[in-house]
Amino acid sequence: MNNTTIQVEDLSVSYAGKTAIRDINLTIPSAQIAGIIGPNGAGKSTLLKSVLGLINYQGSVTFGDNKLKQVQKDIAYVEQRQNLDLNFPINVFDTVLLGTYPKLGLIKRPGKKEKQLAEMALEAVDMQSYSQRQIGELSGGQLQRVFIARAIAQQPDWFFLDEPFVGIDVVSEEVIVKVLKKLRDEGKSMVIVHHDLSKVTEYFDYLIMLNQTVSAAGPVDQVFDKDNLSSIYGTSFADLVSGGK
Amino acid sequence: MIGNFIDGLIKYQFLQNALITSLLVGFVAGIIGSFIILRGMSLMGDAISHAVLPGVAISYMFGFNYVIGASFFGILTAILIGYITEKSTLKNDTAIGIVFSSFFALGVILISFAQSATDLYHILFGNVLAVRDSDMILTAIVTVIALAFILLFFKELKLTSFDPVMAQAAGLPVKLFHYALMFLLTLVAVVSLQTVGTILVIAMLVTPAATAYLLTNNLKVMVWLSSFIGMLSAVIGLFFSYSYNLASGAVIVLTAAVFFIMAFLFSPQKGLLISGKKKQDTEKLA
Repeated sequence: MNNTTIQVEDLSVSYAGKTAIRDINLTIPSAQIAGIIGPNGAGKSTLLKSVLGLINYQGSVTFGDNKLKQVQKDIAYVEQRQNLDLNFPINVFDTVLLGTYPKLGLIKRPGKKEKQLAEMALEAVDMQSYSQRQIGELSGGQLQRVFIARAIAQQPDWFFLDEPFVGIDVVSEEVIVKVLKKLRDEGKSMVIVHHDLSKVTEYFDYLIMLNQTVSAAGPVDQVFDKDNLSSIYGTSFADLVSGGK
Repeated sequence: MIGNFIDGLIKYQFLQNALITSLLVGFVAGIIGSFIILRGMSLMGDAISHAVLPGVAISYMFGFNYVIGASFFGILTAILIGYITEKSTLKNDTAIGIVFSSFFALGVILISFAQSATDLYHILFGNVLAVRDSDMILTAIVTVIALAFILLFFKELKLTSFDPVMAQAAGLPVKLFHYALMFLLTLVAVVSLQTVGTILVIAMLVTPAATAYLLTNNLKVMVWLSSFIGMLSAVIGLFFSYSYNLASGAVIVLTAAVFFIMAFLFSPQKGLLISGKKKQDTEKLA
């Protein structure tokens, strides 16, 4: 399914009668790092979750010629602010190993190959020396690197990351960005929800600018400008950010 | 005294049945309980173990095996709680409180039609010394089913317990595992009726698992340790129950509680006294 794009058609989501996002029409390109930006409450996470089939929506989402069900195992998702029990009896290595479970199928147990994948994924984010630590002992940034490693161990074609850089240290952010770009160069596709506008041109190839509806979507250098920013954030804010560009 | 107990074991079939059954219950409640506490479903476990009561009553009334009636009400409880939580803005614990107390109340009334008051007492508090062969076999069957399920799907249970969102995003049938576990929970609750009684089933599910949780950071170790502590509590409890003529369920539960208190205070990594001491040491260093 590499080289196939994600097609989103007439997608709308409402919670308890209130519209979160509406009339979304998008083509998300493959083998690129696509960013979704927009103000708080713009529906960025909602868009991500509906594409992943985690919430109910109206409209259609297709992966090339396939429905989500057929490609689900080739998708890795790293949630925003992981709502996880960090006191769960599991160490770093086993957490990354979880990434190999979906492709293993039911009943089959992880073997040598899966353990190697986990090992390599941990090395990719420079966390191999923490392998035997409990996850509760890690800092926010280290934890995020572990979850990125878990996503890598899943060997997906698509990575969906929701605000991966919130509340983490500079070193971890650099490590993660580096590994994501490397994966992109190997042909993997990413969709990342993001809110720090200063890094947009540096991080993304493709940009989706969202505030309940899509204001603009396209290659970063074509759409990341003052007009589009003001249409999602309001005029004064756009002036502030783009510094009169 | 221990000699007395062993003599009794050799002489009396009822005591053999009691020992085997309580060992099995300690074992199976220990493994299922581990997943229950990690999923934050302790209250759900309590709810289901109470809510099977009307099922037991109806089974007695119409003369079919009480497992069928109890399982039906156990699953119904899990579904109703899920439904109310989903369709209202009420919190999960409120939904649990409403559903299980209603079913329990219904059960108390139905039992009074079906049986005499002494039987209600036994269902509520257990009477392991009255375990029949058929009950023992039933417990064994449930234990085998639960063990097979845990062994086959350990990987899936680990993932869905730790990170249900990732499991769902990767296409795993998260809901199916939830209800499968609820079903097993119901079965365990039913077979535990005889040993510890409805009211104390939750203790067998939660206390050994919590004790094991305090002693290890590895899920596999936790599951086996929990079942071992469950069995140990059952044997020790049964011994005191037989020797001093005490209510079996209560003594088994208290034994498990003693193990928990010891782990709570002295666990090498998570114990209150030990980590308190560690803290002092680091403060000294600083």
